[in-house]
Amino acid sequence: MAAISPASSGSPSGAASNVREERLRTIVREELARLQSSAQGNASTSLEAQPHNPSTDLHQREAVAQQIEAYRGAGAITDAQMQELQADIAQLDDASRKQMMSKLIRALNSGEIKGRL
Amino acid sequence: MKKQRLIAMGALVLTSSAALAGLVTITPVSVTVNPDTSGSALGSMSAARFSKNDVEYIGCGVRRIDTGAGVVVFGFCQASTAAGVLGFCSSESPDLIASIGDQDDYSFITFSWDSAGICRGIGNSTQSFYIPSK
Repeated sequence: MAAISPASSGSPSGAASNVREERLRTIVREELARLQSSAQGNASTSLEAQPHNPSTDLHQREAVAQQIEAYRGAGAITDAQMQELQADIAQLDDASRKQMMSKLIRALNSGEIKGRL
Repeated sequence: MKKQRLIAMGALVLTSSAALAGLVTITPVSVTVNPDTSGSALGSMSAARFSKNDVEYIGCGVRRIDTGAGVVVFGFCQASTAAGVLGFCSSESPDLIASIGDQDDYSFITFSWDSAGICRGIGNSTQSFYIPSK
């Protein structure tokens, strides 16, 4: 997995901040896609019957957690970014999905991430 | 004398119009956040929408996402008071998500959440008195 550090704090509307966020998001999404592709390639059964790979689940969860941390660092998330983030959260296993959704909601409730669901 | 009569008639018409409008209740959005970060929110959608500020809102929604291995359904509610106090929650409970579908344009909405941000209750009441007066 690529090393990703949360975006530094700053104005969420700044151009540099946006570029940094976009770059982070691209990296995380590429990583998620790679992990999902790898998991599907290794499976010999249908997707419905496919057991979760704990290692892949962990990596996917970490990637989503890093996205949330990046948005926390930026201080804001747009509606489009929120949709994409939720789409990524939906890909996680049950436990990770609940954990990451909780992390996101708590960040919204605390005001650390300004945005809407 | 004629002028006084006209004023009296005008007052009567205005009073009658007000009486015919029915009961109107304006309930601004209120959000309570507890020390453990659990909380609750309430308010009518019409009061929020027609409030004299640009931060107040309340509502719930559902997002269905096809992951390729099935459809994940998130229900969520969110609110902001005029002062910017925020409340959010999400749920995968089919019963709570079903209650979101019961909401209407003029619903009075309530929701509560636990310290993890999970919705613990979602309610609505759709009444004539939440419809704004003309």
